[in-house]
Amino acid sequence: MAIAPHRLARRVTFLLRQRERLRSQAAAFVLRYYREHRRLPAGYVTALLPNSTVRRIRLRAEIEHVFGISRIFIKLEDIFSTKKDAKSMLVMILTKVISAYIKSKNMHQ
Amino acid sequence: MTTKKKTVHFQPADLVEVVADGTSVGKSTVANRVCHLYREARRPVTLVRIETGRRQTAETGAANREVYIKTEDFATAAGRTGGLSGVLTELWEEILEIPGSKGAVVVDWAGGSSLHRLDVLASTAFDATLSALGVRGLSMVLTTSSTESMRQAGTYLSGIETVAPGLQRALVLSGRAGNFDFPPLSEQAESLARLRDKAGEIPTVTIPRVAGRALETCADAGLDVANAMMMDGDALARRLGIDLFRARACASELALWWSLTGKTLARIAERADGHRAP
Repeated sequence: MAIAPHRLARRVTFLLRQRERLRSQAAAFVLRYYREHRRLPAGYVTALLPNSTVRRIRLRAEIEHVFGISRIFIKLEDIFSTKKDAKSMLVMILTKVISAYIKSKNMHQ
Repeated sequence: MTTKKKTVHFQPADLVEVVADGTSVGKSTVANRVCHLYREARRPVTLVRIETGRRQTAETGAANREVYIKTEDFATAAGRTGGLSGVLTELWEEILEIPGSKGAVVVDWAGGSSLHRLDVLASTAFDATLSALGVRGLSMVLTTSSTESMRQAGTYLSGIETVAPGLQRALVLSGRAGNFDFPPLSEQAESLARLRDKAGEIPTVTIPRVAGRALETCADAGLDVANAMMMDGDALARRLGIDLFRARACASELALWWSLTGKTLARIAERADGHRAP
């Protein structure tokens, strides 16, 4: 039984749209994977991104490894992704730092 | 002032033959894709598959009708009227119906049958017979990036030019075994340059490679690309024997390949009237 062309065309459009949605998540996934394993993930993930983007991610992650800061980034990412009030925590820390800075400046005056 | 806009209709060849001397080049995949192109253009198409009986599978659903000719029957050619061409009676019947039905025929030749095919082209004066019928034919010669495959494609192209000079040819560089970006002065780069020299002015297109072995995985499971895309993620995963995530990644890769290949193949199928595309 032949597949109806319009059904096939609809399916291809759906799969391509799904791929576009995945593309936005792929860059973050590849960077995280390289930070953890110091190598690129499988081809079907990197294929979602242009070659130039993959090269840039690889270079960035390699530099992080050289300076030994990749673990710190992984931890920071975990904090911000798991804690629900991470944003408010960051705002609180920043407010405290700024107020301490202003206070010390006032004391000097 | 009004300007008249020129409308361009998709008018592909009436008969497309997908050929290569080697196996695992991607002939059946390309033949199926060409069939879908015709059906997208609302033109009825018959797929004639010339293949060994051991690889005979159920209908793929790529064409309106599928005809199967076993390569084992070539062994019985001596006892048939017309010799080798007698084996292809079903193909000739389909071609003879083209002028009346306005349909199209796509032929998927088996790997390793190039000598038989050239013999048939010569004995039936294929190009002259087609033009007498008013049928526009196109021979797509496929090659992978391996040196041996490119050498075989070059020989095949020369062979067709010798025995059927009036038949339109096209060269398809199939990304099945990898891309065609070779380092300069490498053996493969020289082989590709020689092949391009032999191809000369004929249309040449590249079929992109599918990342993540999606095509090979589906072929191993006896699954056509279109059928693989139409399946649900779970069903595809079960059929391919892989997890759901990889099955979805494969389907997504296939969809991208499908879309790119459609545009590429439509371009050369349209050139089969003998005019060069702009």
